[in-house]
Amino acid sequence: MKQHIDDTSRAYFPAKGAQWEEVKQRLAAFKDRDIGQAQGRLNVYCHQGTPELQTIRDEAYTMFSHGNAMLGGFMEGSGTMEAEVLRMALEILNGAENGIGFITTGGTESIFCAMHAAREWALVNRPVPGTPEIITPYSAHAAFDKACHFLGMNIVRVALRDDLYADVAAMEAAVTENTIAIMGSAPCWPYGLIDPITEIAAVAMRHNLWMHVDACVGGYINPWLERLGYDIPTFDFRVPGVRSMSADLHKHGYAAKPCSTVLYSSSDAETYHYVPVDNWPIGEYRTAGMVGSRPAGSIATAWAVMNVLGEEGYVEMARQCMAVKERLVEGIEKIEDLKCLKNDSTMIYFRSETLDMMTIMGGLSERGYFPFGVFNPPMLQLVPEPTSDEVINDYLRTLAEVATGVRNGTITSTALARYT
Amino acid sequence: MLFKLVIWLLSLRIGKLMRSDRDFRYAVREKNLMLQFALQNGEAVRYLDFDKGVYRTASGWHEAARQGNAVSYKGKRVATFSFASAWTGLALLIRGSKDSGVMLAAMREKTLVVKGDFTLFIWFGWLADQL
Repeated sequence: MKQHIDDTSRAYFPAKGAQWEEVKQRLAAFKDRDIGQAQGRLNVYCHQGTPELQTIRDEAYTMFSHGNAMLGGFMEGSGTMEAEVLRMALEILNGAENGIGFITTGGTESIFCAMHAAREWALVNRPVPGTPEIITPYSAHAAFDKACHFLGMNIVRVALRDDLYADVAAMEAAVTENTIAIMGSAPCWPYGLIDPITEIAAVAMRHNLWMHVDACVGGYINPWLERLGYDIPTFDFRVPGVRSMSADLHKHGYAAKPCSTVLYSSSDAETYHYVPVDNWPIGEYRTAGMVGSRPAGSIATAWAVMNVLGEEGYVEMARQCMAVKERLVEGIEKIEDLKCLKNDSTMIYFRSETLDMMTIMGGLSERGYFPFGVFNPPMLQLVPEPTSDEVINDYLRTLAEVATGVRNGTITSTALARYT
Repeated sequence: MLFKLVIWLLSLRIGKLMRSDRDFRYAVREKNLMLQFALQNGEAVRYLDFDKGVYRTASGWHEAARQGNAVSYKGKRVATFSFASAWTGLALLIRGSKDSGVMLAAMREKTLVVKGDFTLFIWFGWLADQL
């Protein structure tokens, strides 16, 4: 995140306001300085879906852009809309009739809420003598570390198997008297692999632990990949022992950001989710998650897209994502020395045994591409989307050019893989 | 007399929940507050004191209730519920325990006066739901 301005010699807050047309032009100039749509389509501008979905999002957001979802309890329409989104989410992820959910500002907040609920649940159901701990595979999202930091808990990241999946036996061996929760990803962001959720949940049940599934990436696409016949292991509330899930509607749900869901297997978890504060002059302050005010606009986009696409539409979007992935994988592997990692998602990870990946990232950065990637091992990451042949061909052409340049030494600038 | 008996039974029930109901204990574990029940003639009935997981109750006045209209006393949130008479108190507790509208009407008519932290009136509604 850029926090420093370029020119410190002038004041930025204007004494007098300007005309909207002028301000609008300056906004457009900011946008022009960003990574271009074509270059960013497979990473920074991923999860946009089709141009039709973009229009639907724009219109739906505008209709509710002045709304505050925090007040949904008093706004009959907005409140019903949010409840319907959550019911659809639970239906997609096979939640029970008495399952509950909350819309949050993103995967990080969903994970925070689930870990908070786990900590509170443990106070009642699994009191521990020391600092509460959660056990995750090494590949779990960084948001678990943040959640533990804020919640005064420890995170124990357990090394992966050689194939980069969670090592369930090692995770079980890491359980101590202070462990309160365990989790798996479906899939994990760094490798696109779905952890053995059923086995991890069995560990949770054996040791009376809270079981969380982080399906921020896969929650709203795994079910459709399953329908298409891909080998997707069971990852949702069908797995006995799963108490909570995080799943982002602003990824493969194609809602506008920020829009994620934290879902619980049973309404019993409601007690542990909320932080009902009343010790201030206004009285009860009970909000859906960490934040107070929330944009109703992004919830409206989720409701709109879910209703426009329906199951049939989402399956078709998943089919298109996988078709783009197949084309990209084929094209990448045709480039000498580049190899893709097989995984359980629509995402692509590729590396080279012979070419320096940092220099490949440098070459791509110089050509306007954002180096989404992984350090361990060094890989570049793409998030295939239903996109044009032009975008795909441009990327493959540029990558081939960069690989050649790195191989023959004409490209020497380096860049590091980035996520934030 | 019957009113005092009902309040005493209510306090016993809370004590039992504190001992045997994990969810209740969880819900009040961070609460530091005191509810005082009294009559408008100045007679103290009983207080319920929740102190971060420790529950105390006794007949008479809690020292915090003697501080007038303050919303808190030594960090403890305080509210005093003064009923016009024992019979009024009894009727309100019976009819109002599931309907805050009855309590609100009583406050309008001054048969119930709440002093101190008014948000504890809402919390008392939650407490009544648990009993």
